Amino acid sequence: MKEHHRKVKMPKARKPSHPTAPALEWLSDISGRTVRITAIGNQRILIENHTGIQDYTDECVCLRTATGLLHVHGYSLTLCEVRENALIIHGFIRQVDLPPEGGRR
Amino acid sequence: MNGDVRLRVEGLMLERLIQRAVSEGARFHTVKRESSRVLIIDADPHSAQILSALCERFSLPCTILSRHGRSAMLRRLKRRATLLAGALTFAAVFSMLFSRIWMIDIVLTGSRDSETRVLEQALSAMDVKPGMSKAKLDPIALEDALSAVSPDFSFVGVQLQGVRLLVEASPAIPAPPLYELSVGRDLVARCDGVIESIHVLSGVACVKPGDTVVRGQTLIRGDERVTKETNRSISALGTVIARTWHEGSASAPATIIEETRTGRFSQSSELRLLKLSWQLVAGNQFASQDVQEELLPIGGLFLPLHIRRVTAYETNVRTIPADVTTLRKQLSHLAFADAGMKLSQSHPADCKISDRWIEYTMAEGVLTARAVYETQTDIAIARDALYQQGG
Repeated sequence: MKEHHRKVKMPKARKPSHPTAPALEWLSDISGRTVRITAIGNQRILIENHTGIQDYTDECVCLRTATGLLHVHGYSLTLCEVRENALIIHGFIRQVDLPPEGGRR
Repeated sequence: MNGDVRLRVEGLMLERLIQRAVSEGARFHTVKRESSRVLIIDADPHSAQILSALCERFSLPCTILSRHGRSAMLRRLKRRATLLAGALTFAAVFSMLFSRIWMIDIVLTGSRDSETRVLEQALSAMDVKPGMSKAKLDPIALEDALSAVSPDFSFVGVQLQGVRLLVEASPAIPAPPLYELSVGRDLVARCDGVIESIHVLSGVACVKPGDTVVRGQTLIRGDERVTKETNRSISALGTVIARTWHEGSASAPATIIEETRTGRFSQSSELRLLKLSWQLVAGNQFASQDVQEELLPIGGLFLPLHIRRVTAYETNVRTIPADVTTLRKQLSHLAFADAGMKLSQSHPADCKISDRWIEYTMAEGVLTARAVYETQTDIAIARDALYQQGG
């Protein structure tokens, strides 16, 4: 009886969508197109490199970024230190929805 | 960036307005949602101006709720320019007033009493007076100068307390008389008296208890026997206690002049302005009268114009005898006060009052009270000291 050996191919490891060398990661950081989010606890969040305010209510702040919309959910939200590409959201922050890395949603 | 100006913006899609303002250079300190159509924004004056211009362009209602900080203060000062001038004037006057001395107080420390006139004269001579500048005054130098010119004070301290110059001085304790045994001297009586006791420490007693002595009489002679034939002079020392008397008197007429009104009176009035006067109504004069004067202001506080009204009441004068008991009581107070004053002037404070009495005499309608203090005191004094007291 001939044994049929079934060849099983090992699946290739999927490459990341944006292959970059670790040494060059800082290039996208200084390009100014990537949004940078700094959270301090759950009451203060600094958002840099956004491109505009899409919507603002007490419970949700929606910001435009180069890759899509960024949502910050919470309550008693206030915008502080509003500048051209940066602002601070102050309040009780519950959730941050990041834009997909691939492109605009 | 600071939140000097608080704005209230009303409308739809206010996020776009904020984005537009930010793109034009505005920066906002705080953006808060008041309702679905209203935003409350804190911004600096420049950003508030940009936002207001945008609201005006897009016909959005924008209200300035409040202004704080430096910009608000500058706007307030622009509206009230005299406030700044007044504040500066106040500060200048305040600093000028507090840079000067307005009070000079001279305080004696300790229990001894002394005259401060010497210090006042010295301060005047140094041109230290109220109103002088504090910068021209050196308290330490002033202390030294005052100590130099006033030897009667053992300590003089000068302190600047705000607008007050405090000069503290302590009177010096007088030096006790120096007793030199080799210098010959006698002890004599300070005043008249009757000797009670004598205690000789050096010298020879010239009186004995019971003797009556007069002022200046030798009580203890400064003499010491060396041999049978020769004596030598020494300084007499000892105490001689004697009874002395000090009199005081007071007198007053024993009758009282009483005036009773007859019922007739006369009024006169005149208008007065400072030292000028105009007669309005002329009045009569009585031989014996009781006059009352009234000032009736016309112009109030601001014009010194008033009417002076004089009312003369005619009186009858009669003489009635005074209440002798009351008069004696009043005269005894005056007479003892007079005697006490003489006693304090002529005797030291440690003299002992052994007795006192008072006598009344009536002569030609005048009641006279004569008060006497009897004291026991040391009347021995050096002859030189007696000469210094007036011989």
